[in-house]
Amino acid sequence: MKVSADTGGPGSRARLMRRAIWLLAALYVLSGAYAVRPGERVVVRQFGRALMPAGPGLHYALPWPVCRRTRVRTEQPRRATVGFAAVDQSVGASVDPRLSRFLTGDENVVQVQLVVEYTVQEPVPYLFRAQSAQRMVEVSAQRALAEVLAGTAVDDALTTAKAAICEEVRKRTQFSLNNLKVGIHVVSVNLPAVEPPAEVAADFQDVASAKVDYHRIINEADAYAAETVPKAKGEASQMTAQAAGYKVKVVNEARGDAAYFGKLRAERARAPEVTDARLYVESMERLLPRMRVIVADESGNRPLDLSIVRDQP
Amino acid sequence: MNRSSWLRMGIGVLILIGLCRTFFVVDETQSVVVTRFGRIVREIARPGLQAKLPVDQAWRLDKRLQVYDPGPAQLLTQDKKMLQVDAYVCWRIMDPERYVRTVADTTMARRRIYDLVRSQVAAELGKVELAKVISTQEQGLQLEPMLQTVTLACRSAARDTYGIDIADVGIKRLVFPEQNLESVFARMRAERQRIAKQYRAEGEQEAARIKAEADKEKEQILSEAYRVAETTKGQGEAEAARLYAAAHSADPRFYRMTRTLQAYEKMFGKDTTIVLSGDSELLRLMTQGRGANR
Repeated sequence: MKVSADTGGPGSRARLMRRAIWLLAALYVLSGAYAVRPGERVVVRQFGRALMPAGPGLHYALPWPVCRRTRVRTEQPRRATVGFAAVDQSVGASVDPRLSRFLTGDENVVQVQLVVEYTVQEPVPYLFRAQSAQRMVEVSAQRALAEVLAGTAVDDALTTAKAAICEEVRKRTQFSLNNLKVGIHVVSVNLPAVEPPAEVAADFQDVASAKVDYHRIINEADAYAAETVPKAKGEASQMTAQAAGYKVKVVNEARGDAAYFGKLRAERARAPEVTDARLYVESMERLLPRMRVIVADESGNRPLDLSIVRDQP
Repeated sequence: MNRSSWLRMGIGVLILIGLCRTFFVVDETQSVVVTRFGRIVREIARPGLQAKLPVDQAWRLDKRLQVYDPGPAQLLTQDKKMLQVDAYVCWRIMDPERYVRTVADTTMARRRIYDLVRSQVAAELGKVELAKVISTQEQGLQLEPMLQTVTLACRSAARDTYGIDIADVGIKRLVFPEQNLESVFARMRAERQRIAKQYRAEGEQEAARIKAEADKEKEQILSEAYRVAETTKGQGEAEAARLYAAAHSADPRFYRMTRTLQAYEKMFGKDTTIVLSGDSELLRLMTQGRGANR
């Protein structure tokens, strides 16, 4: 204002004032322009009434006090948690165990943590339908979890049914939120922790190791079977092979003996007397030198004194 | 400044105040009740720019859904099992006029809702057995229908009496009360031990079966092999016997002689002492001279 003071009289000062007012007015009018980036919507309330939210691009709405603008990032995933208190707490951090205890269908107690990811589907209801859409998601998800767990056996909840529980909780949460019409789309539900309470954790652990034992014992038996049967098969084929060998041997020997006898007999038929005598004497010749021979003269018909046999060295 | 300009300025300010007291904005999140000297003359649920007489008062009410979470309550089921039930209520102001007349503020509203919901949940839970509240059989579960009944009953009562819309009543947590947990844990522990034992016993049983099966198969294989082996051997022996018989029956006497001589050679060794009669065929030549041979 120093400059205007220097340049002179009241006329030029009033002109300057007018210009400034026009400038301010132009700025005020221009301040109604706004850009919407991808992945977000801007909801304009004209005299408190929400207009159709505008998509990405440059838009204009009259400035305050006629219109108010609220920016919503519709595609940004948001998180709600169940079973641990704070939203910004990392999963698995220390929690009050009593917050995360639920009943299962078979009257057991489990500790469960749940994370819900959601996006804003309809910005207008999301902004204005509930005091806190986040809180709606939290209670709806927790309610869904409690209901699903009330129909699930503890063993399933701890092991195989996790994916099914997540899907069922997602469906029910979405159903509740649809009923409440808060414009929220539930993207996913995860169970980062499903555990038995610390008081009984050791016994659940023992069941797990019993399961391992079950398979180990059976595997050992299978190993025994896998060893025994082939061994028996080996033994069996050995037996049959030996028997076959024996058969061949016996038959061949018989053939040989028969052939031997046949040949000998044919030859003997020409001179039976001589051959018999020769065979007999040759046999004795081979036989007698091997043993002790006592020749007894039995012409007197006296009984033989066997003491001579005993006294020999 | 002179008098007339003061006057003009005063009138301008008055007009401005009058305008401000006449026009007002009803937000998307609000309902407005307009009163004139304490008497309700109008309620506005639609958002937008509205007008009233400058003397009227505009009461703004938050008509958005809110969650009321009164905290856990211990309730009994039909079969006298104690449950800790953590119910919540989603509610909003629906009939501003009635709301303003009957409850006036949120704290009061919550107290009314608490009384209503608490008694309804207790009544409905008292009608079902625990086995119907929690069950692993999908079709037996009474939890959801029960909550629907509660919601409907609370909704009509709250709407007619307090101008409140109860959008949803839910149970966000269901657990045994703290004081019962120790016995619940004891039961869980016993059940786990039973299951562990059962797993191990079943393992042993299955293993015994597998082993017995293997042993049976082994015996089967071996006995089958024995049968085949003995049959083969028998066939061999039979074949041999046939061959021998065929050969020997051509001259049985000669066979007997040769076979006996063979047997002698096997029967007698160096430990044998034999007493031969001087009269025997072999020695006759030696003992009785040449003439005896004939």
